[in-house]
Amino acid sequence: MIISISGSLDHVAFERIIEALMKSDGYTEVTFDASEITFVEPYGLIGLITAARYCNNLGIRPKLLPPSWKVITYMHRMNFFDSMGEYGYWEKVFPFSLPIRRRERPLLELTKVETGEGYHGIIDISEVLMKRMKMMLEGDSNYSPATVSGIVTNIIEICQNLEEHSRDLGYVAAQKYQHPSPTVKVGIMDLGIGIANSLKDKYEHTISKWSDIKAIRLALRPAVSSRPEGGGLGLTQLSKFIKERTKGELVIRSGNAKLVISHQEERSYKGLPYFPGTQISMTIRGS
Amino acid sequence: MLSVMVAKELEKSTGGKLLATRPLARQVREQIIARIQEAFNEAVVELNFSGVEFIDYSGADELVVMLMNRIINKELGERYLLLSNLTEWHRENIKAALGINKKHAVLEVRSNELFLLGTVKPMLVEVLRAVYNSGVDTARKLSDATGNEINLSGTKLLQLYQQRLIMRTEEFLPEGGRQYKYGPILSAPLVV
Repeated sequence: MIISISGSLDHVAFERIIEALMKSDGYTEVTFDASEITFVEPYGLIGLITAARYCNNLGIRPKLLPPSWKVITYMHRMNFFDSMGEYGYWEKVFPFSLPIRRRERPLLELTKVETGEGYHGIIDISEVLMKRMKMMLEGDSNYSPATVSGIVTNIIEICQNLEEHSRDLGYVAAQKYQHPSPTVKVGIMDLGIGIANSLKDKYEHTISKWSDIKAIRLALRPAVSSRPEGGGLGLTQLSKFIKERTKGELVIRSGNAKLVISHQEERSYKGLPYFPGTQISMTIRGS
Repeated sequence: MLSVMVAKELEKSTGGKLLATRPLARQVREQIIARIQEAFNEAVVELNFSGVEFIDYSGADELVVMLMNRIINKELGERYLLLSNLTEWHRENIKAALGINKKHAVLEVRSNELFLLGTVKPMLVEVLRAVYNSGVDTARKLSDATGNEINLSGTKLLQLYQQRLIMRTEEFLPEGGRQYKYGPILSAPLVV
């Protein structure tokens, strides 16, 4: 089976990938044809690795047909191929020892979030993120100190959700853009139990016709958490940060639903092709 | 006053300066609680955040909110909490953690002034000001200053004491009987 991806590898492309994957029953190999990709966003990049992981979990061998040289060097800088190596096969077209110059470093390359029982994984990610943020955003007049703090805090908080609430490892990546306007984009994904299953035991009886979209909306309310002792700060604060502090956009996909939140509006999508886990895209616009 | 350097406690756990994740903050909180329990005679505990590079919402919830919770529940004896050397980043995230359940508030000392983080009922804000800035220390004085009945003044002072935002001592009167005296946790003007 071949899944062709063209143009921008973003959340729209990820939906197409999911839709195609739903028809993968009976195949032993899925080829992601990335040769027509012209631009890669963190969410799309993580989507591709998550799709490969999903195939792997189903016993289907994922294979990648590489994109153009320009895109491939970017994906290399984002650490994509090391991660892809865990789940599938790609055609090696250039020496992967290619050095990455300091100024070419992304805000956060594709990073596996695997905390296990402790906190060391998250602390390691936090340290890298803090260093990069200082290097790339502090002193940039497009981002206030409060915005920089908000970006770091929210990424770290959502990463913690993977193990604790989704009960799965996941991936995170972030990139800073200058054109057409100063923007930071972040993608975080897992293949875990999803928001509805995470909150089900505690909240299903409080809501009629429990569904993925209702669970996503509920998760954004303060103090709603699957933890018995409470909590519920992560997604609530993230949506508040995006709506009130940045002119950005937050996309939360889980199960068969998706919620898009911006400072101007909220759009919900139900009945999408089912995909396990939770997938989050943040767009933060500089002033 | 017991001054606890949070960065030093953090260093014992990770060797780093980032206070992120619930498990790490829980560990640091338990270390700090052990220090508090050793200091029998120190009612005021200052958490000094100097050198802590970062605290996330979860870390703030586990360390500050949960510690305040235990203090209010009298699990650690008669204690009062103060925060110091907060950066803008720390303050934002501690406020977010305090804001989630809106149950507790805590005082921050900054440039010899006190600031309230978290929320208290609007009717209690005036009382806080009276205690910190006008030297009001009894229900009777508060009643005289506000024109409220003495019982209501007493209730308001009691609520602030129960939230551990003001101190309380018991005083025996020369004419017999006793009264509670209230006072600031730290002698500094409160900016609310």
